[in-house]
Amino acid sequence: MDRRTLLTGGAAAVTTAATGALGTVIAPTVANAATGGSGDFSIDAPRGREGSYPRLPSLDVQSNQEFLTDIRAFAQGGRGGLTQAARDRVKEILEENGHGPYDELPMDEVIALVENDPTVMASARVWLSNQQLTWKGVRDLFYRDPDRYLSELKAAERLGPGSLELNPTMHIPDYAKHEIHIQPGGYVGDPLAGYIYEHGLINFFLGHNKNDENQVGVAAAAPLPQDGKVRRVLELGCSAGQMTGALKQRFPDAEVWGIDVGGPMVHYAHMRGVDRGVNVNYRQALAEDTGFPDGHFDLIVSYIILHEIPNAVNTKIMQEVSRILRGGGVYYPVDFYTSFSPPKDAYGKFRRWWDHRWNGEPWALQHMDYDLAADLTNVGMTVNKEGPSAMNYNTGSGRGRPNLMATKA
Amino acid sequence: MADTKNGERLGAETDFIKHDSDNMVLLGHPHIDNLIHMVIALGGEMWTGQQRVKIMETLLTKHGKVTTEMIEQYMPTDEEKAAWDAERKAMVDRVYSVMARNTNAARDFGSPEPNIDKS
Repeated sequence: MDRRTLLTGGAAAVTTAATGALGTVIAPTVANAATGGSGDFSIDAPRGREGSYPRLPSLDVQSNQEFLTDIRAFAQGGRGGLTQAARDRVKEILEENGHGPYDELPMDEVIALVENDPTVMASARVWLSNQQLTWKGVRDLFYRDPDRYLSELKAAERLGPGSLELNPTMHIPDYAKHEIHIQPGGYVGDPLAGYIYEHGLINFFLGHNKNDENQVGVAAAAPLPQDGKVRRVLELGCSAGQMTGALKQRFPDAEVWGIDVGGPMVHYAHMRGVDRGVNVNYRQALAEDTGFPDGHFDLIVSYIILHEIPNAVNTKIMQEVSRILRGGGVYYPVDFYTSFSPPKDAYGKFRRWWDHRWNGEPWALQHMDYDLAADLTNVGMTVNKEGPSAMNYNTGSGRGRPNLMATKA
Repeated sequence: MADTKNGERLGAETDFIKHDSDNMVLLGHPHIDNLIHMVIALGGEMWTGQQRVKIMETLLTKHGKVTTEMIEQYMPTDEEKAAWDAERKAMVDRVYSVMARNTNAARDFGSPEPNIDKS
């Protein structure tokens, strides 16, 4: 039995135990099967899995993360939650200052009106503390034994299926060095960023996505070229590899690639792919300079990456997308404003500003003014704003709405 | 700067730009911010302990014995998980929902109560 078969078998056994009628202590033999024994690489799962994700390797940290997920739900919540309280309060403030609840005010004026209100700011504080505690809990856990995780990343480098191309000497532009979502070290600065990101994201998705449901939904929605031929697929900004895995699942016969500026992210994505037996190739590269030949791909997908990039760089990325797509190839970007418009109301604007200022979203504010359709048109792509709807859980507001797509002439 | 060991990179990381979120003051005084942060952190610590107790109770009921390993590796049934999730959400509601009250209606301590005739 090869190592992957062993892993798959172990995971299946644990899943069966998890969904059985009775609560179960995972038998040591199953735990051993899931980890493949000592001294080997893998995402070690002595505590079993939830969905396809290994449970965090500490009950206490997992319990803490589950609590923080509920705090996030409370902070983001509607009736009885802090977001609704803040939204109601902003309406009152607008009325107190002679404005209607949906008046379109300049961002500076909105900020000045609400930035000292206790209800609005308490809601921001709870949200920010939740975010900080989430990252700290996960990062501290993996840094209890960093050598173990660094070793398993290293061990997977030359294993397949799939391939890994790290480029340790590549120039990382400053725009990509920020701690996005205040994740410690961001995507480029922490060697264990992939572990931290993937597990922290569970909180971000309010406890969901343990079978990569968001990414599977987007991959399922991705439109095909008119001739139906999909031989090569690329994801721009692949992070921990969830979307590339979903794309490979949808297009099993295609050559699937994921690129990301973060070395630690593609490092982890590759190990994740090896662990799951998913044949995907990963390259550390910039989306505006992918290194692929002209006309190489039939389909390019990006998922919530464009708002993390300055508008001027996105313009270059669209040039690169057009260059590496073959004639008739399709680009399917799913992002903040590919299926709906930026908010115009005061609370919506303040929420975007807060996300920008306190949640490490340095480019998200200018992204509200980014004209993606114009950039794609300028590079000779045909834009269709009525493309297939994507399950955009991240923003919560793209579901069921048409999403932008573009086809190369 | 990224973490290093004796000046060497540990993995595939590089330099990064640190965010200033640790120094944010949103509520007018840093210790008010700190208190909110601490109260949330304490809630997490409390739930963590409660979760361990629940698993211990379950294991003792089923097996009459318990070890640290058994607790760590326990996989709840779907029903148990749903019940614990509901209990945790209820705790969050009990402890934190006061944060969502309308502070515009709140009054300073000692200020006269409206609508009460004290004559």
